[in-house]
Amino acid sequence: MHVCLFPTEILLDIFTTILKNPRSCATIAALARTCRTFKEPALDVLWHHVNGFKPLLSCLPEGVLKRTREGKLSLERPLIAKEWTVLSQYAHRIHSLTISSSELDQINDRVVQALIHMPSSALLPKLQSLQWLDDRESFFPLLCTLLLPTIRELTLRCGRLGPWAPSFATSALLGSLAARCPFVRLFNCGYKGDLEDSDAVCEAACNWRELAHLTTGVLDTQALAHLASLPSLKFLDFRSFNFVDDARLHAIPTFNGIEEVSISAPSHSLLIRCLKNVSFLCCRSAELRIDGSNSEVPLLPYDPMIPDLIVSISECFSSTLEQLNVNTDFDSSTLHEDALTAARFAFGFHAIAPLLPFSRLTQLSLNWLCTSYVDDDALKNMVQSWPRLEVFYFGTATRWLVPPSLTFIGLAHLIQHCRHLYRIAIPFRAFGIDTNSKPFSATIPNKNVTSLFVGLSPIDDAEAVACQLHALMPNLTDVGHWSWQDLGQPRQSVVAYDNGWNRVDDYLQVLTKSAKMREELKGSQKSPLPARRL
Amino acid sequence: MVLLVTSDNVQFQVDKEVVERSVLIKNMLEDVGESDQSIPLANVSSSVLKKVIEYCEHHRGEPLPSADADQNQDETRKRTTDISEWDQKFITVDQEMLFEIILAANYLDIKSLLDVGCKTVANMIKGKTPEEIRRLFNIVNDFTPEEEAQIKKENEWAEDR
Repeated sequence: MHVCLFPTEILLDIFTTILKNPRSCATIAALARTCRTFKEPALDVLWHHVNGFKPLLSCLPEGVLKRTREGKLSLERPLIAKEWTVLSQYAHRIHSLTISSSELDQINDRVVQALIHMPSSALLPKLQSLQWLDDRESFFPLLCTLLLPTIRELTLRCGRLGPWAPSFATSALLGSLAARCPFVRLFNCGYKGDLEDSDAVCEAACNWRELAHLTTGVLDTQALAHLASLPSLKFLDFRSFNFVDDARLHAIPTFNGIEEVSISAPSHSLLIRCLKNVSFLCCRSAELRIDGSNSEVPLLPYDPMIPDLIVSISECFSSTLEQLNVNTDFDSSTLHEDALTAARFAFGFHAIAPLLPFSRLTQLSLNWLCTSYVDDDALKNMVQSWPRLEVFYFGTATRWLVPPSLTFIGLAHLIQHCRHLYRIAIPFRAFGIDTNSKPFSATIPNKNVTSLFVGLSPIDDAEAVACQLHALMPNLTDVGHWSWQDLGQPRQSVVAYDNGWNRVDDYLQVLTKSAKMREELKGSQKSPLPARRL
Repeated sequence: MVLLVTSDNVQFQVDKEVVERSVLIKNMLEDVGESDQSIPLANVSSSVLKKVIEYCEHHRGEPLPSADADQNQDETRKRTTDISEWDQKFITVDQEMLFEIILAANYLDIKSLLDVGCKTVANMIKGKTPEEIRRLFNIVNDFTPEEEAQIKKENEWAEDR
C-alpha cells in the first residue's frame, strides 16, 4: 500500500469526493471494510450526514430491533449499556441530520422513548446541522434532545417548504431555541400567523449573535433592529405583516452588511411601510413579494400606491443593488376585462424613474406592472442607466390589454445599450420599421439573447418582424407570448396577435437554420484545400 | 525567479508567479522577503516536481482559492468528480506517480492539484468491493472475518444508497 494512502486528511478528501456522487454510500461502506487505515475516515465520511434514525437503529444487534404489524421500527426491550456504546460510536460521527415526516412515521413510540431517555447527556453530541421537517407536537421531546449548543444550522419546517402551524407548544419550543442553541448561524423557520404568533421567533432572533442567514416569518421592529446590528448577517428573508413604529427605537434599522434580502407582505401599503422603516446599504439582491395569503381583500396587480412603492424601494436600497425582483402573487384569471383594458392602471417613465440610480442592476423584474405608457425614449433613458442588465422582465406577467407604447425602436435601444442581456420579457408594438434608420443601423446584434417573451404584443407583418428580431438577436429561435386561450374570452385582436407570433416562430426557425448553414459553408470554404500532388 | 531544490538535489528555476500557486512556498517567500536563497523541498523528488511545475505553469494566472474560502466553496470544489480535459491528460500517469503528485500537492498546499489527484483516485474506487479496492492498491486485509462482518452489518443501510 502506497504511503499516500495513510494520511487521514488525504483519505478524507478522496472519500468525500466519492460521496458527492449519487449512490456512492455503498462504496464508502466498502472502503470502511477494506483495511483498518481506511475504516475510521470512511465511517466519518459515511456518517457525517444521515437521514432519519434508521441508520443508527440498524446498528443494534439482532433481536433488539423489530418491525410492528404496521411496518414501524420498534424495540423488543429497553437498550442495555453495551448497545448504547455501539450506538454512541456512530452517533459521535453524525454532524448533520435531516428528519422528515416519513422518517418519523417509520418509528414507533418505544423508539422515541428510548432515544429521549438515552443514558448519555446528548444523543448526537457533535450535531451541527439539523433539518427537522415536521411540526407534530408528539415528536417535540425528541427534537429537544437534538437541540444542543453545537448546532450551527437549524431548519424547522413542515415538509421542505411548509411553515409550522402556530400553537402553544411550538411557541414554547421556539422561545427556548436561543438558550438551547446559542451559536446558530443559519436559521430557517417558516411560521404561520401574524406578529403575535411570531413573538417566540423574534425573541430567539434577538438573542443570536452570530446569525449569517435567517429565513423566517414575521419580524418585529425590535428583532430587525437587533439583526441590523449583526455584522455576520448576510441573508435575510422575512415577512412584514403590520409594521408598527416602535418608540423605543431611536433610528430606523440600517443593515450595513447584508447582501441578499427577501421581504414579503400582504399588501402594497404594508410593504411600503416596511421599506420606509428599514434601510439596506450594501444589499446586492432584493426579492420583494406581495402575497395575499393572509389578506381578506383579493390581491390586484394595480394599486394607486405603486409609484410610492417604487420610491420606497429606491430609498430603502442603495446603488449597490444588482438584482431587484418585485412580484405579486395574484390570480390573473380573476381580473375582469375592464381592468385589463383600463388605461388608468398603466404606468409610464415617471413611476420607474426613481430606480434609475441603481446603475449596477444585472437583473430587474417588474413584470406584474402595466408598463404600457413607457415609450421608446423612456426605455432608452432607463437602459442607459442600467448597462449591466442581463435579465429584464418588464410588464408581461399580466395579460394587460392596454396597447404598449414601446416599439421595435425601444427593443433596439435595449439591445444596443445592454450588451450582457440574455433573457428579456417586454411588450412592444411589433410593426415593421425601416432597419436602415437609427437605432437599428447602429445596433450590433446580441448573440447572447436566447429568450424573449412579449406578452400580448400587437404584431402586423410576421415575416418582417421575424427578420428584424433575427437581425437584433441572431440566436433567438422562438418568441414566448400569451395565447388567446390564456384569456377567459377570446378577442379578435388577440387571436390575430397569437397567430402572428406563431408565424414569427416558424420564420425564426428557418432564419436560424439558414444562418447556421451559411456559417458552416463559410467555415468549409476557409479550410485549406488538400495539396495537389505534382 | 525562485530556486527550488528537490530531495534528490536537483535545482529548478521557476517563475515566482508560477511557484506561488503553492501556498507553502508563497508563505515562505513572504516570510523571507526578497532573497536569492534556494528553497529546499525535502519531500518532493525531481520527477514529481517537474510534473507539479508543469501543472502550475498551465494554470498560471487562474484565481487561487482565497485563504478564507468558506466551507460552501470547499464543498463546491469537491462536489464533482469531473476533471477538465487538460487536467485529465496531465494526470494520466502510473499509480506510483499519481500518489506522489497527491503527496506533493498536499505538502506544497496546492488545493486545485490535490483535487485533481483525489478526484482521479475517487474515480478509480467508485463502485468497487473491498476485495477489488485491496487488489487495486495492493492493500492487505488486516480485519478478522468477524470484524469485517460486524462493520458490514452496522453499515448495511448504506448498501442501497
